[in-house]
Amino acid sequence: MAGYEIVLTTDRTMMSNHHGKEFLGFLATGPAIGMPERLWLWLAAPKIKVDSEGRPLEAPYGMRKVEAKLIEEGFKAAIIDPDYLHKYLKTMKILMLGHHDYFAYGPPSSEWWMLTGKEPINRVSFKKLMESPIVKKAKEKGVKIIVGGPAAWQWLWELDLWKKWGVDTVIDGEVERVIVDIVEKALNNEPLPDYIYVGPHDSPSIDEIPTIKGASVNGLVEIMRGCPRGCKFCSVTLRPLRYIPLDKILKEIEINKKYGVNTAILHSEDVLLYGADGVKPRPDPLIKLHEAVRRIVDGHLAWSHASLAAIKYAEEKHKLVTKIMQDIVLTKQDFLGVEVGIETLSVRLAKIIMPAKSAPYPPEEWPNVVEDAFRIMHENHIVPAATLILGLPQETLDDVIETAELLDRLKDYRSIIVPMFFVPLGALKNRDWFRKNAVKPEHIEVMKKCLFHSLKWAEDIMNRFYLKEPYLAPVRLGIKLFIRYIKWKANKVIPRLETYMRK
Amino acid sequence: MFMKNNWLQNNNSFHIVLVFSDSGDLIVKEALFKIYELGSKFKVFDIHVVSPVNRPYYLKFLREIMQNIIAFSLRVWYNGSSIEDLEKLINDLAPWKNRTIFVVEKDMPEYYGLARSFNFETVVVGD
Repeated sequence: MAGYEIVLTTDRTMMSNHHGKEFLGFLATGPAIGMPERLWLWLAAPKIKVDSEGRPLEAPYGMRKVEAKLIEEGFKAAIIDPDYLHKYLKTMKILMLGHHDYFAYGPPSSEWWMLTGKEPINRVSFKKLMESPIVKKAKEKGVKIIVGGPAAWQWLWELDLWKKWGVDTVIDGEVERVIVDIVEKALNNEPLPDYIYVGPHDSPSIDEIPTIKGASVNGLVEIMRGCPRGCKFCSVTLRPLRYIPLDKILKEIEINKKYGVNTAILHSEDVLLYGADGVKPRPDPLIKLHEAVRRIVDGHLAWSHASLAAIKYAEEKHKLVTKIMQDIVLTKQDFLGVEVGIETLSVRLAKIIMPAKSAPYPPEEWPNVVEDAFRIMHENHIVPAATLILGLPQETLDDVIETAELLDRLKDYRSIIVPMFFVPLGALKNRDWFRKNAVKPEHIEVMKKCLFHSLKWAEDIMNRFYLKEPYLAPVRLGIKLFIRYIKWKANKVIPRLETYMRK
Repeated sequence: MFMKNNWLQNNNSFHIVLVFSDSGDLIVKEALFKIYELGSKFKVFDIHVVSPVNRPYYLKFLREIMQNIIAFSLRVWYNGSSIEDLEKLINDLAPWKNRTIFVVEKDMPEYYGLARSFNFETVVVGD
């Protein structure tokens, strides 16, 4: 067995393939609702298969990138499943942790936490990992703890836990250009900064981004980094825009296939902007990308994120969504899932917060862009999980009312719409969080509309597309019972909540 | 052993030394102002903290920097609290004297006196 000096890990809510269904992972952002915590955790994040060394067959993509960089530079590094850390207590010198949402401060965890008053499972699970005897023993023997990932910033609000668990360094940002030096210094017992923020100037070039060495969760591979839109609430837009070359994307898919993962999630902040002319999608790179991926992936193909404006433009200008879906994607599957951002349906607020989100259409067109994109997706068997943000800075009640009214225009389109409370990121990092006492009846109205829209379509999605594999029957049953419970609970709680809010 | 790159010792950074006792709020505002002022010349800032507020708790005062500075790289170091700790830091920073500024609380004359005696640019906050 290899003696790894550098062990990368995370808690179970991250180290899972969520039954091969990425969307089920979102259950881990909430507390157990209507069922025991262990059952909830199993639904959201079952244990992943590991090899004889305790290395997971699939692992979070960001951690795979760090692992690859360290291996390429000659370090003895590996991602290890949290249940197998004990195997490396003797050899481990650095323990590296990554997470999307260590302490449940991000959306939608913070919202679940606020609404239910219970700690979400992702936070509970991460704390359990850090309080485990093996992590404590590692720290006692002098192992350096370095944490990073998209939720690194949350440690600044958990200084007691930082101290208690003996975290040495927190790194926020893209690490490819900096991680080797940090690890060298840690191994040589040289002083390390307590906190590092990697700015856009230190973002890696394409050549500095390594190819993963092991499979990523559900075959996720990035196709570009950065985003040209410049929305104020988003940190990704600060980074330079880089398109990953097609041969590099295919190479990573082949790595996933080698480890038995025959699905692919194309990751980008906006998949349709791959090879685009600014914010205008171009047919050639998108068709080449999808054809090449479809040729080698027999399993499910998904997009991580797409913008509604790009969907509308691509279809209206080039019939591109229809071409990609009907001629390529749907030849081997019956739907495609994607996350999209509505954020607000108020034109006034859209102009302030995300003036370029509707581009190439003017911000005044934003509600039409949203509706048209939803229609195009519905017609092409694309199932979006859409986000709305409540409590954005400068939001007025009129904005919330406008959003609530316009949501009715989306009722016929198959989708899940998730309202989230504002969490300061990007250029809005210095703004206050949306607090519980700021929730008004108008917000409740939006949340109610989203809930009933999503429940209606969740049943349709389950009946038509989702969790149809026979081996997933228990998961399907669990999710169906959960949907039924939420309907029952919502019908009981919402009238009481509305009465309370009016007082 | 491994000597592949040296990002942490990037010589193109600007050093800001923050010296404060039990509250760093005013000091941090001055540091923010300096970073904005120098942002056109430098893309990396090293922030060194000398304070009796131990690690990692001193970082609660630096949240404002981390929340506002998103265009530049930041490296935050804790350097102890004693006058000897400050002297060691002064010696370490001597080669970069023209790219270092000390921001010191006004109630710590021994500390800003030391920085000035080594001819470092020093701002006393609260004057």
